[in-house]
Amino acid sequence: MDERDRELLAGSLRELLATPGVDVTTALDELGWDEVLSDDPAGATTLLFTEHGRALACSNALDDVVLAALGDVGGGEPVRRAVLYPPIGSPVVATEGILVSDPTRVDEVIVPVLDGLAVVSAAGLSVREAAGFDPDGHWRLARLSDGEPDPGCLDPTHWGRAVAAGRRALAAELNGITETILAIAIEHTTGRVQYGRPIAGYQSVRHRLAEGHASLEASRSLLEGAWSGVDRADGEGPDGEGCAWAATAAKAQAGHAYLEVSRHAMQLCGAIGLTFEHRLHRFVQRGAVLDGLLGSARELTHQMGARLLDGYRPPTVVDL
Amino acid sequence: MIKEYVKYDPASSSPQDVAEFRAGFREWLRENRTELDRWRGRHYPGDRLPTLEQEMEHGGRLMAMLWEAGWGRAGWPVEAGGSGGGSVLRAVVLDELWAHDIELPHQYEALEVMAPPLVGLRPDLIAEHLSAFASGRQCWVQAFSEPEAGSDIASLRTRARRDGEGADADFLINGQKVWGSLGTCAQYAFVLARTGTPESRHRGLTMFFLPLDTPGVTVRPIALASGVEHLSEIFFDDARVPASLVLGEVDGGWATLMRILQYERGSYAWLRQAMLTRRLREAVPDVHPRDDRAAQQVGRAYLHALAARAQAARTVGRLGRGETVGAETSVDKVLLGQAEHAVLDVVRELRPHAFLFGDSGELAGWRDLWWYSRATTVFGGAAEVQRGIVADRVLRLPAEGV
Repeated sequence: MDERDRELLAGSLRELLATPGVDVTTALDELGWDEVLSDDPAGATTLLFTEHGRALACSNALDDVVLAALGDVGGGEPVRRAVLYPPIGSPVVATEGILVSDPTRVDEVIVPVLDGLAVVSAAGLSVREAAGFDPDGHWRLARLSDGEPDPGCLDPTHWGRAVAAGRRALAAELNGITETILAIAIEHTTGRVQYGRPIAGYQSVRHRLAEGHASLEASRSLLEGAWSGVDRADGEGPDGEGCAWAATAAKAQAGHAYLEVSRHAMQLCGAIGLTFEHRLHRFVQRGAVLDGLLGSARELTHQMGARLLDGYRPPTVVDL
Repeated sequence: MIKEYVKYDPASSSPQDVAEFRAGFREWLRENRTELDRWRGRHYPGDRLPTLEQEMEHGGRLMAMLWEAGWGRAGWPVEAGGSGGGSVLRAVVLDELWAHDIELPHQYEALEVMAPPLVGLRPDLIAEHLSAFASGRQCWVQAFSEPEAGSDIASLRTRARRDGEGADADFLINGQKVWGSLGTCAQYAFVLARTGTPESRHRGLTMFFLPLDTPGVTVRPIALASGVEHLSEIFFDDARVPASLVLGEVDGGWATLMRILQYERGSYAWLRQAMLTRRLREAVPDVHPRDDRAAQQVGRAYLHALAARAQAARTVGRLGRGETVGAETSVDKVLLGQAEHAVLDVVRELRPHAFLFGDSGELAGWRDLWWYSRATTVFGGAAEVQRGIVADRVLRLPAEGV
């Protein structure tokens, strides 16, 4: 899509995501999102999730992406589904996981467990709202209550593809968060005058903001690179290891950029930036959970480093 | 084989052209792998030759081989002995050489920064010199910095004055330049000198293309802390240069400089990041213990290198499409500098004893590369200057210190 289409779509998405209590899946259907998505999966997904982050939206958009990547894995009757994401810091669900969708609106929940993928009835989960660090995030913690789920239901090989798709979406959402945090810090330091000049006129402040911008740009470029592998003609396609690696790198970089920019912003916005009335904390809070979901910057960086130490030869990720 | 590529539009090459070209080059690399082993090795730093001159001569033979086979001609104008096609083809060649563990000759760094800006500006000079430069028989050096003018290049004092009246009169250059990379092995220099008043700052500068065998020119080596003579200083004592060797306009040297610096962000950054990926690959096998700290540090260095690659790819693509790139590419330089430091710190921090005491050629090579990595955030506009440019011209922050 060209720049003008992107602007128009971004406007519609902003309006849609700002509607209180919106069912994003239905609203996107009405917008004709399917067509936008099939024309340009990379551009559309990145745009949707960047706006999702900027709007601090809470929706089932991530589930839509992950479920689409899983494909028709159930094979049975069309049912409404959600995904139970592993707890932060864990690759699978042992007893409890994280829901982004409203479980009362779905029939089944797909659960990545130690030996594969399980499908459990939504009614069988015990769910509670999780306020925690990001109280406005509508995160829900759900506990498996029917004992051990049967991991044999679904083909686990699809999960890797779903995680990669989820990581690309989350990287875009984090970029939207980081972009906003940087804008808040720029606005504050430009307007705030101390010792007779705007504090953004001091070199240490300017350099922090410039470095934050560079990390964010790197994240955007890497995400483009991660998408380029998905439909590359000579590549291995969306199931390939290269594609998964690239998505991991993009999510890790998005997390690093978020961590760096939020650390600077919390310092540069001074005391007011740490108050409840200021909007900075809401983006810092949301970013922290998004960084953790499907692997934090720290974990993913460690994983990639460990593979490289084992002699793994990574894909180029970005080609000319 | 290379004749096929003449059909390419000089302005750009389509993704299909690039993919086809890449596949062809990979096949050639496979076919010639035994001969290419001379430039390959897991620990090339250990196989370093005793002097920079010998290394460059060795590297020059690879450039000659690539030129003869045609791959070194791709992406250069047909009029200059090249085989046409977009500049992206050159980036593909450099990328593939590193990916096949072939050590890139030092000359490529000079070639990729200095020849591309002359393609549009001075096709006559490119036609005359490109084949020698790109086939490893010649090298050029940038003579911009001075002892009193580093990142603040507009304060430079080397003078160029007309010897006589009229637009055809020769210039006589007097002054001193410093920090030119590979200067002792170079035959030509880009010299930025003051033709305006001492106060004229960037408005009174002119860029010259100067043969270094011109009487009155003296080149002396400067060794980095590692002992390797990567750098040089150049002295000018009434060095005569004809008006025909002005690059761009008289007093328009700043514009020529900006034109050159675009390529330092594009192709140069691209070849450095490819080199860094390779260095990381070389550093990793000897890291012990393979604990969490090592994994974290290697992963972070890898991500830095990948970020520099992704960013450089964007800029190379834009330059290849004929776009002018500007202040936003200071981001590329910031990312590349971070990657240079992170990658070369892997050996220093994860093999500390070997790095400090190892007396093998390999460790000496790593120490040399480490010192060079520190230089990369100083030359071409120091890291601080790049952050300042991003702050001013990309983020549009209030001016510093006002």
